[in-house]
Amino acid sequence: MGAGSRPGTPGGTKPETTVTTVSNSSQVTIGCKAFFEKDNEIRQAEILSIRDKAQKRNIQRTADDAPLENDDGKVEYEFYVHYVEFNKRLDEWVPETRMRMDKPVTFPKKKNKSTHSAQHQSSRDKRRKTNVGGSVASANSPQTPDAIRHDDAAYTAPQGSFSKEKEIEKLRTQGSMTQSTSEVARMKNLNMIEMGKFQVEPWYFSPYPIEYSYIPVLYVCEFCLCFYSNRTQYARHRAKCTLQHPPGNEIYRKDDISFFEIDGRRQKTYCRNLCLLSKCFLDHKTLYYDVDPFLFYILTKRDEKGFHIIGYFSKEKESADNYNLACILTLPQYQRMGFGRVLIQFSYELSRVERKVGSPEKPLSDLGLLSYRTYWAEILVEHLMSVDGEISIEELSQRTFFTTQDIMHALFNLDAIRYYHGQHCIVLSERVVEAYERFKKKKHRKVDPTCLKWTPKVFTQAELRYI
Amino acid sequence: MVNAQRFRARKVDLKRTLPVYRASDLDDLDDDDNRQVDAIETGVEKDEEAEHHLQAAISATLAAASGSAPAKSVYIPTPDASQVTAEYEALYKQKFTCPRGLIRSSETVEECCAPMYCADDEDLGWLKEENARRSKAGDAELTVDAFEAAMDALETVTRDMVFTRAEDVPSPAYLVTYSVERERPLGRKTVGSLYDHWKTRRVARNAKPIMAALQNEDGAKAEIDPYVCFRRREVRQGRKTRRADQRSLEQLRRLRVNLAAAAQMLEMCVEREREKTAVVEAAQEVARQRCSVLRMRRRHNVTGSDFDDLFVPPQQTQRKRVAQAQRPRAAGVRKPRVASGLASAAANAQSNNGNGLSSGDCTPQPFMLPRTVSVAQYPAPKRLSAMADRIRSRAQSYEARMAGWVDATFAGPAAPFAGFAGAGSCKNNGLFWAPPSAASTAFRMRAGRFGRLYVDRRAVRAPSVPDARVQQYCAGLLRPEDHARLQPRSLSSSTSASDQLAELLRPFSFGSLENGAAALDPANALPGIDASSVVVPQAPLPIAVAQEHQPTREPAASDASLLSGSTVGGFSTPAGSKDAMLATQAMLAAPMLTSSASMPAVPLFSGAH
Repeated sequence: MGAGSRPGTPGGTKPETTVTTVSNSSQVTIGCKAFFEKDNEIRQAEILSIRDKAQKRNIQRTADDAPLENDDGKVEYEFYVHYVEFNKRLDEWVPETRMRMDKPVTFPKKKNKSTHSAQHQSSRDKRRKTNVGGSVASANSPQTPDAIRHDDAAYTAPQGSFSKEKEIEKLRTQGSMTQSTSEVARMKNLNMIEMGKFQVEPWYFSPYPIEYSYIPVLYVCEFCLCFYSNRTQYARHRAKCTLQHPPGNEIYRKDDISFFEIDGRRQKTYCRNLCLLSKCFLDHKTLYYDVDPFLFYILTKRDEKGFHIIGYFSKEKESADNYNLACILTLPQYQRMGFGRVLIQFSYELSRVERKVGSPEKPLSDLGLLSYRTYWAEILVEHLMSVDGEISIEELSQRTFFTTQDIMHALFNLDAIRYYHGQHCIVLSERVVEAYERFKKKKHRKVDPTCLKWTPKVFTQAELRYI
Repeated sequence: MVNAQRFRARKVDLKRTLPVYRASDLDDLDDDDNRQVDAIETGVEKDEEAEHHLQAAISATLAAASGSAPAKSVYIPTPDASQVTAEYEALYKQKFTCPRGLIRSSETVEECCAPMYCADDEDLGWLKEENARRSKAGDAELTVDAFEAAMDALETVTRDMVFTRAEDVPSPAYLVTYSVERERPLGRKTVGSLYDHWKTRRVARNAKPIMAALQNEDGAKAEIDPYVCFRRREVRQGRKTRRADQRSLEQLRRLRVNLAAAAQMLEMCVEREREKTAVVEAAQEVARQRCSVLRMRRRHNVTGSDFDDLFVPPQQTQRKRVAQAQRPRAAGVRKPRVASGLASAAANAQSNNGNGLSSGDCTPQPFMLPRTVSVAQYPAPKRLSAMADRIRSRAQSYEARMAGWVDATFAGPAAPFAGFAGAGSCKNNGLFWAPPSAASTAFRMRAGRFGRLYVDRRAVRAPSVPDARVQQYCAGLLRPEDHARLQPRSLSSSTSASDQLAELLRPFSFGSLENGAAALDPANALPGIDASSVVVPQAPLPIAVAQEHQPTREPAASDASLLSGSTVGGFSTPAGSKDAMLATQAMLAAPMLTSSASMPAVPLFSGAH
């Protein structure tokens, strides 16, 4: 994850870190990088937290601390690890038995509190001292002992180009896809989410109330997305809840698929609940600011119980950067069924009604990038197959409502931009044409633009204030 | 490598059309100068771009596109989401019937799940005990719903309160009063039974709300606390720049100039009105002086000089003289003078577009004799009969001109009849009369304060009563035979109610005036009086005259008021009715204002001529 802590990266932490082998797992500290077995491979992983396996009690142990006194091997440990160069969603607790003692361990640099020449050293390592769910209260922590504490003394700007003020300003003025500035947020805080029929493992940290962190199961009502830590409370809520569809206006219905439009300002609770839930599956989503400036488009599937949420995307009411989409998520239980494509297509159908080209807000996640690339490629090839002669990128943009940048991105990816006889041209390779023919034969979920009953909302300055 | 650099150097022109080929159509496509994949911004965070699974997926699709590897779907592995719960059916019991149309809903989550407080096991345990106690005491059971509602109310009321220690928890009595102040009254009884339980739970939670809530307030460390979310966005402060300053300065300056201009305009308005007053006052003073001159002349028996010298502006005097020369002069010395004075006033009124005095006109008006001076000196019956003759002849000529035509306009006195004939079902004529072509709208004239007349346009929903009045009014302007000819037609087109009214009003219609006028000596008809002299400033005259000279003949009086009323634009009613009183008042008020030079009495004249 951390750019500075990857081996071989220029400006990395090599000079400050020590690489050694350990005989006992109790010697490792938070921030160490060790090798673990995973899916019959050996992967390097960074240790983000340590806990006592029996008591599930987190242990704070940083590079500055003395080794744990566990020489007799009585206590069994678990490590919360992030596999280097794998997505965070695969981070997990692993027993110490999976740690490979024969491989070297990279220790982070010991923190020297008296000097502040820390600007060039790895900020990640400086931030290792994070205690999560622990019971150790240090002197500079005035908070209640059970609170998960974030060590802000250890928090500094990682690079010269990055400042907290800038980050917050970016959050405030731009969309919602900036990384959380906190270290606690590197660890998942929920174990399992039960939502309607499904039980889903969360992927990332989400700021549900701190009381709900690390509970076995978080219960989420499928319709209003209210959350409960307690099965009884959840059942009580279900007895009262009358919602059977997202609390907004249905703007699209074709067969059992519907879209609902929800104004973040009017449906605060629902939209907050939705954001909290989606944060569990979106790494780069931030919930720093409130939901007012966004509209939420909820994709649902109807059955005899009601309209079940499948996924959603959010969109700024007024985007300075011509984004037509801020966050997009298909809930994990509905992934790989083609709903992501439906969401993406719908966002462009809205752009078509608005007569504005648009692009998704960046950064994209890995899954987001793949989905978008696939969608762009499909649509562009479809258009290009019908072109006889010549077409400009701008005209493609006007037809598809993709930005020219996204079109170039997709065409490069298709290997379609070639230089031929002294000029650029678009070449569709046989593979691309084949893939398109295959795609055409398959049945895909698609949005039917004639079923969209929508006029873009126009917001007054007063309605956009404070957001 | 050279090729690659050349390629990189030339960017694709977005505006330029690019030829589209199939790879199979080109045989001489060189393959090594186009690998520009690195140049693409993926839009993924730099840290994550290198992730193995993503790279695997990207290279798989790339390979598929370039044909170097068979296409196969490569998925990025995600945590497990395949488990289902067995309790779903038990928890989601409600069936759903889908409406045919699209759903439109604005209910919030709070409204759909109220109360938001949900009892947990601890609550239910307490509730069980409480209910056991209650059943022993013979009290009604406390249901879970009631319990949750009460707990929710307690939590809501104390939401903004700060208390940290157990002894700081507010007392039930305080909570009740406080809740009433906050307009979310708590039941004293519910608070009483729940309070201890609620307090215990609250203390156990370190005084925080029992149900965990999101943290969204900005505390000292809130900025970096990952659990604080959904903060309010502060108002965006405009950047303070020199240009921004200058712009606001410019705006302020312009505002100041505009305000100053407005103030100046107002001052000028005041000045203008002052001047107007001065003009009016001067005119009055002149008139007064003239009167005194006249009195003086009379006292000293100065003859020879013309009355008109004093009271009529030179150019009008001349015209009047010509006009008068053509008319037979009556025996009375003063009366013609008075009459000519009136005529000149009327002529003057007409000269102003026939509208009397326009509001912006500040030229001194010719002096008009005070009403009280002249009234008693008119031989009213003669004047009346002359008027009647005059009107009759006019109506006759109008009829002759209009013979064979249906008047679709609203100009002449016969217009309402055209309306009647045309719109048979239209019951709304009269004071509410409609132009024949547009039965859906109607106009109403009414007198406002200070004699202002309003023309209202209103929807058709008027009683049928005015029908008869208008018939009456119009009938009054026509000869009996015309009347007879037209009446059946109009009556047949009106409803029974208006028929009855028409019957009631018949004695007051033109016939009676005819009788009254016939009884008077035509030879005494006032010369020099034409219809135009009936214009408003003298409107009250006929009434006064009628009452003076025909005290016993009510119908005539009412007809007089009818006639004069007609000149005011439709306020013609039988004597004794409330409307007549109002109309009279309106007429009395009108001349005062017209003579004060600035009131717009515009519509008064247009209808009658």
